[in-house]
Amino acid sequence: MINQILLGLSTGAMYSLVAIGLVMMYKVSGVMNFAYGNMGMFITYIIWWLSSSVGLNLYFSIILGIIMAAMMGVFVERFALRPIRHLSHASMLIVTFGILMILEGLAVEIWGTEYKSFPELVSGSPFVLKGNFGILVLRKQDILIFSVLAIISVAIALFTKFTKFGIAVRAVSENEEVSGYIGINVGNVLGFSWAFGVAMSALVGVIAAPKVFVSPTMLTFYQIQGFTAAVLGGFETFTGAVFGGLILGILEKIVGNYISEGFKASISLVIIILVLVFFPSGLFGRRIRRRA
Amino acid sequence: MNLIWIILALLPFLLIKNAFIITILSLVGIYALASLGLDLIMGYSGQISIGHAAFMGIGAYVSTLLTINYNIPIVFGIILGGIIAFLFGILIGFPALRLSGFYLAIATMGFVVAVEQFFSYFENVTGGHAGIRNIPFPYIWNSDIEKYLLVLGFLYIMYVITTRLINSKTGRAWMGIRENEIASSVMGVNVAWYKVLAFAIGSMFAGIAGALYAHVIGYIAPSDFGIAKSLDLLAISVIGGMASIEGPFLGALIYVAIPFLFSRTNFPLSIIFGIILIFVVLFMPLGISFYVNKFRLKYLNGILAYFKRSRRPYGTYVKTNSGNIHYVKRGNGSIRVVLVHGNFASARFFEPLMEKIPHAEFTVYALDLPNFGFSGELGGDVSIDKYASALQDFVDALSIDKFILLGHSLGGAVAMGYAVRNPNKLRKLVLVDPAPVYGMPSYDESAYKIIDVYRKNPDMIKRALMMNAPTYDNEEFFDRITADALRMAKKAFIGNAKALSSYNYTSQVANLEIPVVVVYGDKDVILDYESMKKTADSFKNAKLVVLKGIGHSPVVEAQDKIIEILQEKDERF
Repeated sequence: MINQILLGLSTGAMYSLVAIGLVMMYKVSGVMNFAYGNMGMFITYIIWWLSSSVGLNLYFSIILGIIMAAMMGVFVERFALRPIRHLSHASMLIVTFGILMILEGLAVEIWGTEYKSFPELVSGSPFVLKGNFGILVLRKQDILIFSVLAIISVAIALFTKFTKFGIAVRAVSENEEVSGYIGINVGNVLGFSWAFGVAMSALVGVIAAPKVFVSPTMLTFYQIQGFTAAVLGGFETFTGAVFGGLILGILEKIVGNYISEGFKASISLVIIILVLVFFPSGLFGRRIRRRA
Repeated sequence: MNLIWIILALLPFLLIKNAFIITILSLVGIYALASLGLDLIMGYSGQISIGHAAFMGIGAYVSTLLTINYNIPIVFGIILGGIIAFLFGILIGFPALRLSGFYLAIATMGFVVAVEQFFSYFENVTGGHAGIRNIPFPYIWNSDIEKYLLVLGFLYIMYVITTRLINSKTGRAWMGIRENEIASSVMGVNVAWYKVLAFAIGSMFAGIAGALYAHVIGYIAPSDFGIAKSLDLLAISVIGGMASIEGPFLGALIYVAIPFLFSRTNFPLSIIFGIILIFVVLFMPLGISFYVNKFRLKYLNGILAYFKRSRRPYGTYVKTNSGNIHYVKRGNGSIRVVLVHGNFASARFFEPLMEKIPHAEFTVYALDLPNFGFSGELGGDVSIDKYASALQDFVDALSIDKFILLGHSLGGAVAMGYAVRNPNKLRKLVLVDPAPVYGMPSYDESAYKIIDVYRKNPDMIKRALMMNAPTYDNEEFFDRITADALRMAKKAFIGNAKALSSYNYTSQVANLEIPVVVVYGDKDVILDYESMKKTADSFKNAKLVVLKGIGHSPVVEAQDKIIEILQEKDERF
């Protein structure tokens, strides 16, 4: 049982990483990025291509890929979304759908639909802890995921609390217009949020790739679960995203074990609907009254 | 519009050799139907759904399983598929009430993934991932044509339902909610009810489309109704144009046609659709149908207008100093009445009244003012004074004396202009919803440009005329008036509107001795009670008659009342 929970926590940590990226983009720019998974997918393909076909060092290509992801985020935000910020959020959503379709088509066109294997970032035999609680198996991959999540969570917390730009990010997420009046470069903050978000999706892609293989739809499921995690956490806070992801991971593992693997996506739908009906602002969100 | 449907129904018989094209057309119809439903949800009620294909899937599986396992006739299977999808729409519509924007998008996205998993999971019923093959379609004569006609029939019914819905209270409630939820709930719209209703009806459309898809293609699999298809439907709606009836049709046509343009290359379609989607949102956010409509309003309807204008004069001509004037005369009684019509009207406007008026008592003349109907065109700028002198010429040419002058709307202003010049010729002046004595307010130049659009759009003229006579229900009559209105001089469309805001008879009518009756229908959408009151007060000897529940055109709406006023002996008020 405790191993099941640990496994659940490790998938949950992935969902948390997905959710953090989504929440960053949503909090600041107000756009739900539906192309998130496919952006990560595309960058993962590039990293795979750099390391396997071009022959670069794997870690170097990962860094290169994440930089590219950040550039892609800035580019998309600047040229596809900012021109229609004044229109409506729905139209920005639709643009992200367009990007989703284009990236998927490009991936299929360039690399085909067959699955590509991706090297493990860390390998080796798992740590086995024995104690009065039973046997605890801790895989090295899990440790990687947990540490990445921990580093990023702490980094975000420090960044948004103590750096000037981090405070600007929070200010823009509260009120874009007023932030502009007090001298914050709103455009830079928007660009940053998308750079960060897409970089996160690339990171998720790289970490998930050894397990799910590189394919055009590799991150679709992670994206949906990331949405669920973010909804669970309330979409407004990073804490919510982290814990929402972990809770979802455990829940999913339990459902998979005791009911059926086939209902993993259905369970997330049920969770989304229940949470939204009973806790419209998520488990960790605060209720905000707004003018329409 | 009906003509287009008839052409569509006959089309497959011309293409009888090309079964392939008929199937393609059926597919266009199916996608148009599904995205018509999406249009109701997204375009009209302002919700968002990325799970639309899931409802298609529900309809498809329900109908297929029912027809295969229980031998239910296909039409009932399709209808049942629609009903089940409707019920699921209600089920999803309720949580949707709590959600807005992207939350709803996520929930519907979750729904489509869940439904796809569900269909794959129950292998012994649904055939799992492999789906169901060889769905039977019992046909009598030619399966492709019958499939096409089945699709077209459902599409037509749904199209009619949609147009009825969106032009009704329901549609206005949807659009109100779309624009501002709080404001519309303040106005008394039951937001929850209408949102769920939109979702359920939209889902039903998708369910029917899905069922048709199953029977037309003959093969379904869970992956046919996944998130990719949902996004395609979204693309169809956006590309075609949200909140428009034609949008889904154009979008579906493009969606089905583009693969053929690129069939020789191996270019993936999703890239093309993605690019088109982004391009449309960035550069033509109103969709293709907006531009098509604009083109139609500006040019295509002009052809229609040319064919619709009336050609045969139905009265007699009289030569006057203001050119030939076309008029109608009825009755041979002792009371002479001259009827002057309003803007976008003609002598024909008085036809019902002239039939009804006692012919033994009255002699009635109704004329087409110059620039209108079959009368000639006046040179120079349009002005009310010019119309008044043309009326004078007409009266002199026929040497009518001691008559009652009745003017309606613009004709009311003309009648006032005539009365101040020739008070001695008149027994009485009856102004029926006249333009106010001090003129209409003037508008911005851009507003006048809109009026010019009428020139090429008979349908708009007809609707405007009908709106101004809300209680008179005789479409054929309005068709004839519209045909006459299309004969108006080119410059008169804007000219009349400008002329109506550039006169003022207030000081001149103050000395008129003749009795004046101002008739006002209180459902008038052009004039208000205040201006009618002021008009009546500026005459020395006038009374104001307010007709309850009558619109701008009492001459057709309340003929008895008008005849009564004409008959009134008491000429001092």
